[in-house]
Amino acid sequence: MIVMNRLTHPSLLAVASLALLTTGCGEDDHHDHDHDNENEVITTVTLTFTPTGGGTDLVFEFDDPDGDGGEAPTVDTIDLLGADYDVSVSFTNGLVSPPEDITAEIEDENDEHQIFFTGSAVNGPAADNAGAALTHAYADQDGDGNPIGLANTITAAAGTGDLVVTLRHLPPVGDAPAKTSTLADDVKSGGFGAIGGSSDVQVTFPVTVQ
Amino acid sequence: MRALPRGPSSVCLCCVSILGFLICLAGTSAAQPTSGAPSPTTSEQPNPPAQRSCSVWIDAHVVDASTHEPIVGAAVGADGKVVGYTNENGRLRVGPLCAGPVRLEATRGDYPAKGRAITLKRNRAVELELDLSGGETIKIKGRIVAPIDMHSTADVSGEALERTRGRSFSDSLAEVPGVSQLRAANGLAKPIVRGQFGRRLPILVSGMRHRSQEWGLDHAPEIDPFIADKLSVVRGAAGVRYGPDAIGGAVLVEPPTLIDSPGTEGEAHLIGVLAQGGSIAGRLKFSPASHPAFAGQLEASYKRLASPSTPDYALHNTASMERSAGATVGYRLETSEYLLSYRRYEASMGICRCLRVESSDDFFSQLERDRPVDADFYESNLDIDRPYQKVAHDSLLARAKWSLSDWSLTATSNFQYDHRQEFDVVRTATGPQFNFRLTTEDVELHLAHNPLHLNDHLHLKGSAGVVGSAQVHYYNGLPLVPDHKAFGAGVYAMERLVGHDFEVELGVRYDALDRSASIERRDFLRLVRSGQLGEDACSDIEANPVVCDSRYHTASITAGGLYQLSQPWSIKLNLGTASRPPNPDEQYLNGTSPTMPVLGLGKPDLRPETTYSASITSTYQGETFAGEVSAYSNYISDYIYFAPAIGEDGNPIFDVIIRGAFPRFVTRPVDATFFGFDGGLSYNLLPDLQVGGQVSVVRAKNRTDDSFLVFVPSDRLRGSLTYTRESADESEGFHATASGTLVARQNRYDVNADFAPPPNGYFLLGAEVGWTTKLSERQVRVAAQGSNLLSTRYRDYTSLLRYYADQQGAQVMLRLSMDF
Repeated sequence: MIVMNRLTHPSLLAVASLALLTTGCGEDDHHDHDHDNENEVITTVTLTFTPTGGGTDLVFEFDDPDGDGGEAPTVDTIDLLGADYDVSVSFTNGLVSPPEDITAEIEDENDEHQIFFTGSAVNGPAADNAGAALTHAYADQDGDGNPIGLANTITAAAGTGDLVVTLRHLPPVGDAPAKTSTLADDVKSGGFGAIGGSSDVQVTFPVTVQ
Repeated sequence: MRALPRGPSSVCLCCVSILGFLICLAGTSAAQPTSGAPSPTTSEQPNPPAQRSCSVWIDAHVVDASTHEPIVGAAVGADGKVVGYTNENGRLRVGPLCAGPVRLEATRGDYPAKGRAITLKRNRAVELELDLSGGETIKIKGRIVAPIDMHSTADVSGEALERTRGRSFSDSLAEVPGVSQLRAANGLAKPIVRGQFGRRLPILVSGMRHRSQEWGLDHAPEIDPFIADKLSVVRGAAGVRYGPDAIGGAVLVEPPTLIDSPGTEGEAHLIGVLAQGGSIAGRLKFSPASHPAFAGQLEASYKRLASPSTPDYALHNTASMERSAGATVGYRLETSEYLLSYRRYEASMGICRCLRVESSDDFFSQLERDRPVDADFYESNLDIDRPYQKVAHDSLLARAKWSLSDWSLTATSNFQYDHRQEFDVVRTATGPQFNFRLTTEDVELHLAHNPLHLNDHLHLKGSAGVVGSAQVHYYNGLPLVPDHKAFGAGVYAMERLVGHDFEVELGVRYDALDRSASIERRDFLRLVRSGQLGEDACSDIEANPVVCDSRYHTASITAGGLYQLSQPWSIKLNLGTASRPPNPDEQYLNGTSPTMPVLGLGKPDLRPETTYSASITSTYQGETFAGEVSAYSNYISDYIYFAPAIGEDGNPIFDVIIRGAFPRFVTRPVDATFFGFDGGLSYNLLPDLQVGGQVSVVRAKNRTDDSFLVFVPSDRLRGSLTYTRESADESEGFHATASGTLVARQNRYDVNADFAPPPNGYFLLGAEVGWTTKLSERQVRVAAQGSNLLSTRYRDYTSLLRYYADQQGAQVMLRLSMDF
């Protein structure tokens, strides 16, 4: 998303005139204590594993209901049986009532977002751990044909390790899109320091596959 | 005060003066106006004796050239030797002198020396007119010359200030010894004086505290340097004069005074920064002939700069816009004057796209990189996209001053509204993610008594005052700091004994501060769960918001002395203590910092920190050589330090949040020491050619665990060579300067308290050429100024940008100034 330059257009006339003295007042004076109306806080990351061969959905959460600091977040252990799964990822802001689903925002701006699956338990586009418990593949793509990561397939085989889920926000740099087709490869070879943008979410789940 | 040996006095002793008349009482000891006069050297020749009469007296009268007001305490010299100081009427009897040629000179504080050669035949009166520094014309009647500050101080005014036009407020102070910059990632900076900045270095505009969110590392002062006629840096604890948080000193911004005779005058500046943009600034002063008691002033400035570039890449999204405007009116009567002034400052500043503070993994992994990962796409343009900061500051100042025969009373009211908004990269939100609104009303009553004449050469000057403040802070946005209300009051008194060649000053101050923070219940509970706040620390924890009260009583004391060893050489000693109550952010900070990838937590039960400071300053003001060197030592007990929290196992604590594991930083009291020295000199190699140099050295230690403190500037050395040529009437001239700045690597650092080791030292080359000329009776000045001309690639230890990217490469600025 390119944020419009919200500054008043410079005008020498405005500077030279004392009209300046009367501008800028009259901003909203009401003060509300709602911290989050302008803040896209994410408190909860939910992974839903749907066995492709049929069966009940398995849901795992990273949940930090009071936001940064305070109570430590709760993290579910991803406990699976060896099988193929469709994996969807969703993000929620639980600090507002009712909780706000952030996933739709990411879907709306899917050309500026990508979710990465890394960690010792993962082998896939962004992680090079041959023989790891989880083999990840993207199952969705944006308008440019680049993966998003809200929908995925994962093949689980016996093993343990960590799954790191990272939501990367990649607004363009000037006119150059920051989301490109090579991001997962770049993360695989150089870590997150090798790509632009910033991480809105980076959570680690322990993984056990029997 | 007379411990030092003196040379023989070349003038005879004695005599009492009655204005205009001369009664010489040679040999009596009733008054010895010159007996205490120091001599600069022991080799000088006494006036030729014999034939000539050596009992001639001069009644010297020293006045301000433009106001004709007497100049109190001016040093008067005869033939290069100080013979005494003028009294409250600006008068001093000099003599007895021998008949014949004599050169009489006078100087005082910011009045440069001026002299007159006369031939003495008989007793006579001589008037010396002094111009305030830089030849500025100060026309307000009744202006009392500020007493010499016992602290180590440095002023930037006149030509030196003009050379900084077009730069930011903090950069205008860059050449003052002992001053460096804490630079935010958008290039804007706040001054660091002897290792202290922000909350420990108050800025005063027109003598009143600038009220803002000064605690944030990346919050540059909301001040347009163009409003200043003079900038002064006071180094060392100065709590009595400038308030309890002047732990490290103070920066004084003095706007120009109004004109006092009918007419108009003004100045205009046009500044271009190559490949970036520029600024325009103007000021108009007027006083109508029909109502000469009225005077007014209008000023405005506008600055727009595209993102600067490092030698290799642009610092994407660091464009900035600043604009300010102000209007002042004054009304003057015989014994009173009234002033009303309004100023508004607005700025928008992009934050470099290269910053990586959203997650700690991002931050730490990019530290390994030589350049930002997407630097190939960075461009320099005028766009200000998210993330950016937007600030607006309004100040309304009203001042009245009544001058009576023995005292003067000044009453000041200053209302300020500071609005800071920070906009993060978002998906759909339209507003700011951090929104701070701070409203402050400050009042001060200041009573000064005219010098009390203890005897012919001992005068007592002093002042006392009361201050009060009321402040309301509203914050909304991501969890960070609470709302608060605060009420403060203070009372102070200072007295100064002025002798022949010495001055002694003593001041005391007491302040009380009552503050109640309104913490949203959810944030309050998070502080409790984090272990920073006891559940019983605040009243009614069931309420929302939870209100937490704190009350502080602090005392400040200062004692100073000045001793004039000879006319050009003086020495100052200052001892002081000041206590600063903790700021609300230090008590209640609660969230991930927008500038650092840390989870910051405050400590509500912090006590005030107290500094004990000593500094000694030696100043030499000769004709070809001028220099000042100052050494200092500060011990700060309960120094409030924001540093990594260490767990019981001795390792730093990390908190897992949704964006990864963040290091936990907490505020905690430690004992700290700061010591070092700084100084500057200038020497005229030839009449047209001057060399200059400045040095700053700061050492700082956390005495509690014997570690080094962060963001302490490294050693720096600056040298310059200046060629100046002026026509006799100073209306035409040329100057050229080359300067070099050498900054050492900070080798004294604590790897646990910082995220990355300090960058290497660097050398920067700068230059300026300028011409002054007259264009249809108006003085016009043109200059070209270049900084980092070698396009050195460097990172600065006290810049927040150093974790992500290099500093700006070469920059060339063109300046056109005109007085009318």
